[in-house]
Amino acid sequence: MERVRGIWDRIPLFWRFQLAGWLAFTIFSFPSKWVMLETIPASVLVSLYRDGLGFLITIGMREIYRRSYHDKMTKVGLGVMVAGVSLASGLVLTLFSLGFHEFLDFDAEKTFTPPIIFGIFYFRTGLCLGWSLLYFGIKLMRESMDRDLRIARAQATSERAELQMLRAQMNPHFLFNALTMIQAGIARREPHLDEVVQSMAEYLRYSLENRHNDRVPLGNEFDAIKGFLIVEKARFREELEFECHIDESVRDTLAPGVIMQPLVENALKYGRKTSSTPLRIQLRVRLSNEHTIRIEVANTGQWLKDEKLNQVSGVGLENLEKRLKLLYPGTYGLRHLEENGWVTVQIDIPATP
Amino acid sequence: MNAPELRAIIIDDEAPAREALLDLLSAHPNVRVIGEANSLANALELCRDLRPNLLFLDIQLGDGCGFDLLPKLNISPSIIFVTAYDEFAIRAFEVNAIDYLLKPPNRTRLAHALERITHLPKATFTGVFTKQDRVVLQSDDKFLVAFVSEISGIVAQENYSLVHLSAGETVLLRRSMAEWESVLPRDLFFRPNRSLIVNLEMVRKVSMNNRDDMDVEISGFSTPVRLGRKAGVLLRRELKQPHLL
Repeated sequence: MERVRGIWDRIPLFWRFQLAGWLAFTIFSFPSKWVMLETIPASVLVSLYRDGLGFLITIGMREIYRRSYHDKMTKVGLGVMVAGVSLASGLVLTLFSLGFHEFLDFDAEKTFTPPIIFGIFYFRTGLCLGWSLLYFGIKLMRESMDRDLRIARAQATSERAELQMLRAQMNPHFLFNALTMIQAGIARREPHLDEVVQSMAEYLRYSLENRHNDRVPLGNEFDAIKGFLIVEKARFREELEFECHIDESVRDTLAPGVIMQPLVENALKYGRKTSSTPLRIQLRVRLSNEHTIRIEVANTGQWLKDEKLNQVSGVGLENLEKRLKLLYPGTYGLRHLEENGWVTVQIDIPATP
Repeated sequence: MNAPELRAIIIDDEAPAREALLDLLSAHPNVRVIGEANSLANALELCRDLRPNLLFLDIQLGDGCGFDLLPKLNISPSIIFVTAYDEFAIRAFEVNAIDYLLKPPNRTRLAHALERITHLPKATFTGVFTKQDRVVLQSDDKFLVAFVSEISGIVAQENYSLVHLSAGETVLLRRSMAEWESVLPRDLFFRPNRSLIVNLEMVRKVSMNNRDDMDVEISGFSTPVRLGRKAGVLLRRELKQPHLL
């Protein structure tokens, strides 16, 4: 049920405080005016013009503050500004007070001795100063609350993004289909099922541990992806064949933790759409010359031009290229070729990072 | 219990997944698996040749989406969707029978789904859809699967209702407007008069025709819908309501 918003709720916060504050001031300062001026009509009149003037001049002060105050202002600067504006306003208020008294033909000479004039000036300036403190107090408090809210929102957003990323990495389709395959394997006492379960554990552990890691030995990802392919082979059986090779000399080279995975996922996804059966996939990690390591994933499908090739579970080629650009500016290579019934994606990275 | 025989086809691109279902189905003698398909193309052929009355249909297949099979069928089998992971719930509305199973399939859930299909042939969803739900719409001659948010409007036709989708397709269902009104999400759908329910996000234009009626242009409708003055005013008011917060 939505709360019914009255007129009061629709008034901006400043005006609510301004109206309520001055009204309260008028009411509570009335007795002292009465004591000084002795008659009620005179007190009412003086209250109206003095506090009315105060109301108006503080609106003017707000305008000045709004135009001059900015985020980079120092505390000293703020203090100087507030003091200056309050003094000036106090002076204006005092002058108007005197003028008004003259205009109404009160017995000015009797009332306005210099000490009293100074007293009025002192009090009015203090009033303007107090008003300024309240104004900035409320303003800064609101700004800090808004900032906290923005930070909380940003945090929530980044946590959501993190969660989506995690979900994409864990690839729920892969997980639940693999579990289904294991369930069928158990019921039928399939041999080699233990190897499949071990491979899956290896792949999952690698995915969890190296999600954000930019320095992981190439051999580790290679082993994990090999495990992934063993599980995929158990799912698709004779419809999938794969070969994996890594030069032992590059196993310890450090590289971003996720290079082969998007390539192999792409090969499977699009290969299954376009290849004749069985789909063949090759993963090769080799030293192509003494300075360069070539990571190559090939499949027997076709290159799909209109499909967005970068959208594999959210961690696609585009994402990969961004990371390569950051890590190996100007020294990496990424290309694809299609020949003799094979689609190949090649990534070159420096052998010594 | 004398359950009717179910002639089933299992459609899944992974052999072990088909085996997992076959293994569980061995406990149900009234279900006879008459065929298995590993692709949409094979499934379509088998359905034409064998005319099954039950499909176990995997949603993610190598060559496409399981839903794509449905409009191509010339039969109306019961359907149990099987899915590894789907963010969206599937709802049935005016469908002979559908249900869905999550992978890996489970003995109890399978028994429950078969029970529903054999004994509650008119089982439909009770409750309220959300925008993200997928709804399966089946008439005598057509099968459609759409997100609830893709329904652009529903027009009453005597005891039937003609459902328009944003892409322009229509399907005639044996459902009353009141029944539709009770399941569609209120923040998206509005019923300005007895014969129209409209998706507020699909309204393109409301134009005054003369003093007494208005024309409403809705995505997916080939011609504008004419509304009386009162209904038009109600719709306009509803459209002005900010749907924020």
